Amino acid sequence: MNFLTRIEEILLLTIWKLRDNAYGISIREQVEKDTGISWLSGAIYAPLNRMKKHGYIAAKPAKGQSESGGRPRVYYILTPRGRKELCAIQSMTRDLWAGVPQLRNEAEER
Amino acid sequence: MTAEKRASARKDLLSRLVDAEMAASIREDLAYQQSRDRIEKGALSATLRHMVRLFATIGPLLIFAAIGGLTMFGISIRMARRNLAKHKGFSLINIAGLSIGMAACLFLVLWVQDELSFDAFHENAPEIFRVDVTQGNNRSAMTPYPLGPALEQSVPEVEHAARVASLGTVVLRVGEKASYESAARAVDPSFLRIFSFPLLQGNPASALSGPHSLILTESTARKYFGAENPMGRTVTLDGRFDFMITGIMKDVPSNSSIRHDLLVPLEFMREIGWYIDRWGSENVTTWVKLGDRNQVNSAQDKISGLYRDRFQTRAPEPILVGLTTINLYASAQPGQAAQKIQTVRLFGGLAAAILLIACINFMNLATARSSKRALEVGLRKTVGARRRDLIGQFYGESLLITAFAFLLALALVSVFLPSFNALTGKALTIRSFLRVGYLLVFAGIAALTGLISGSYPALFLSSFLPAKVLKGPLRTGTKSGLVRKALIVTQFATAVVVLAGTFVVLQQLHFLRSRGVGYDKDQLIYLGLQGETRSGFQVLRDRLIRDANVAGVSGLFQRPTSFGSRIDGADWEGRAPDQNPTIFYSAVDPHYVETLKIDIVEGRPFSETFPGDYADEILINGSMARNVPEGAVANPTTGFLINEELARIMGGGNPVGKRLSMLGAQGVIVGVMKNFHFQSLQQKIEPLALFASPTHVRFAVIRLPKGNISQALASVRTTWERIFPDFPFEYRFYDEDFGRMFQAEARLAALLRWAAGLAIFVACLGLLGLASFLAEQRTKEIGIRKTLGATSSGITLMLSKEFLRWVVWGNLIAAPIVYLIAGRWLRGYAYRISLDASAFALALVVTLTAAFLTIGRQTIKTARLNPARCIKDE
Repeated sequence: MNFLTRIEEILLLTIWKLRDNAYGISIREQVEKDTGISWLSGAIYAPLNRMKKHGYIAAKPAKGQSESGGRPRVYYILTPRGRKELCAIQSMTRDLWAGVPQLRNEAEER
Repeated sequence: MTAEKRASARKDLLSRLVDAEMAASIREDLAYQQSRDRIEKGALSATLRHMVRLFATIGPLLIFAAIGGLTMFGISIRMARRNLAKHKGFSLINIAGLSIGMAACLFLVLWVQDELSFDAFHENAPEIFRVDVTQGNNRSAMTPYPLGPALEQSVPEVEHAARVASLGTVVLRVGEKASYESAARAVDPSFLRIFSFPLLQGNPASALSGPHSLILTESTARKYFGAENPMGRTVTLDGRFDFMITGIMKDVPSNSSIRHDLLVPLEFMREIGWYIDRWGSENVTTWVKLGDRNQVNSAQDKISGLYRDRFQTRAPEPILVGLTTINLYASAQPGQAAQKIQTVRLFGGLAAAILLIACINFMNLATARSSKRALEVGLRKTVGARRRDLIGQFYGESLLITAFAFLLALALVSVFLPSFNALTGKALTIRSFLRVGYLLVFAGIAALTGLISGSYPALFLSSFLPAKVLKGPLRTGTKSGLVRKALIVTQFATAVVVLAGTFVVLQQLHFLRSRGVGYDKDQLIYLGLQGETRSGFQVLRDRLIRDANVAGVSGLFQRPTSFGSRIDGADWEGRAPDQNPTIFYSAVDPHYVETLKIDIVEGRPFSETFPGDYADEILINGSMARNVPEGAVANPTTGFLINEELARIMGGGNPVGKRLSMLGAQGVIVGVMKNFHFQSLQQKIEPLALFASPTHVRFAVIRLPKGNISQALASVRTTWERIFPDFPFEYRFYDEDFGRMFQAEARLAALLRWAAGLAIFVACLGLLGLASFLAEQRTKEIGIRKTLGATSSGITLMLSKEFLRWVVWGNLIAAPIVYLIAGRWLRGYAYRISLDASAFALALVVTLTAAFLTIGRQTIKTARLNPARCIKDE
């Protein structure tokens, strides 16, 4: 597997999670909701652009108009390669966490 | 309208960075966020946040794009590497030529850099000036003793002034250890304040305040004291004066034009008999530090005024000479005329010339291969390469080669640095060029080389039309052939300039060396006399002349091979009122003429049988000249020996018997000597007058008999040590001194010889590459010629003729350039060769031979081709 950066991994996961509703705005808002941080657009779109170039995700032009009434909105889906990558990440994360003793956040406990 | 335009420009940037879909997503999101902000935070804030967001989006994308570009560059580097590996021969010639050229260039840049860095290490360097005086055509750095204090007092621009007087050679004794120190100076305490010569031990403010305090440099101290601490120890100077060491100075850096090993307070000069309060006593260099360096002119005017007040008539004109210009424009030793700047310019030009040759080499080989590369270009373009990519590839290739050559050149420089130091007498170390500044300059030179030499293939080859070049063999036509010829002619012209220039320098050097000095300088030695040995000169002479191992003994006041003192204001019978020559002079022992074997043209030499010859009264002390009190001169029969040059200036027939008065003494000319060199052989023979005064002898001259010199020297040494047990026996051969006078020329010649050799070598490398290429291209033509009856020798001739024609053209172009440059260089010499055709002829022969040897094998191989082989396939 190719090691992706953390934000790339998050983006891949988000697009998968959003299924048919993954487009620029929704992806950014979902990421912000899940991470609890307000992301600068550049921090989202630069890795998104990179993953698109490397063929992890692809655009799926939808029918209909965007909300602003301009060009059709661009939706993103995972390519087979992207899906394979995400599976690999999932299994690796599972393996990594397997057998880890009970972990508590001490700050929360106090 | 403008907003729209701006938006479209933004759009363009974005669409250039990402594809259309991504751009649409980003634009949609940005617009969405902006509209949300407008509702939540107001229009102004929304616009501001939008701008920030826009930059924050485009920024990372730009970086991403740049990284992508680098990857592209990496690809072209990879292709370049493959290409180089595929054509090993060409690459070797290319890299070898370039790295040799660059190494030579780096050496010369180092040399120039070192010369330019002279004296710059002083913190106050820009504000430090030396007071020089000019009078008529004479220029001197010798100023009166009281000038320094007067400047500090009455010229407000002058912050500090320091006087430096040379003590000449002194004998320094510490316990049993005694040795001569030739770089002993007496200086004002402010010397340490003006200049940045740091003390390792001792307090710079007080180190020279005691009358008998003394500062040694680190290495001199080590010579006498070894590992012991020298501070506070007592040393004896000239066997008479005890000094206490109050400071240890860091050794003077090699790029300093002010040199000294030993410093004592200036007041000491009074003790050894100099009238340091008198304006007539001119024997010190005066340095000033100005408060503001822009005040040079006003300071100079005030110093001028000071001089005019002191010397009502014939006041010398003072000039302030900047410390940092002294090394290049004025020589540090007064009286030496050569200007370093000429050599610096020469070497700078040489560096550029060698680099140019190497670059041309590169370009030539590139053009030669162009028809092959053209196919590649065509194919690449067909499969989608843009011209931009090809330019990138070719530049990548040439930059890779230069980078490679550059590393090789650095390695060459570090390996040959010691030899270079030996050649030039410099003390450059690896560390001195591994400084960031230098490396940047060098890397800049390398990059420039790569860009210049890569331009031809990058800009020309990349323009080929694929349809044209893929259809059939490229007809480069006469145009590119012309470029190639022009390049190789330029290359040879440059090499010939260096080569013929070298021949001229060698001829001049040989001329100077083989020119006699005007007397028999072989087997002549001289010794400096100090203190006891000076007063004991007569004793020494009396003993030595009885020795069979000594052919003659004499003595004189001036340093035997370089007379320094001169004076004007002489008067003689029949002098025209406007005649006022500057005359060099020296006191000599009466046996001087016979010992040196100087020819007498008219009259007679000094003789002990004419006691009237003696002129002891006219000399008060070493500074002579203006120290003479009015009316103290008496002896009307003082004898003068003059040289032909002075006789010529005096004019009016035989000067013997004429009255001559100079140095405040009335006398008679007893004889005329044939002109001989009493200064460096590069300098014109100036008018000279000698007078007999054995009591003012400061140097002993001894002529050894021909034959066993070491035995003679041993005998002289025994005698010396018996008379002066406290003074080490140290002597110098006249020959050594004269040899040293040509050091600059000899170094120049040695360097030029290398440069010329390299220039020719690199030019021939280029020729070789070109020859093998052309031979390959013309195989078919040669095959047909041979089938039609041409002989191998005929073809060899035909091929060589073309190459050799370029070389001849190069020679023809170079000739006038050499004529101009060498002519200018030669004009700096009073005695010089006249430029004739021999240097040019020699250069022609050498280049033709080198070229022929280079291409000979290749040409003959081509000419011998079996025609059946090369024309069978089409």
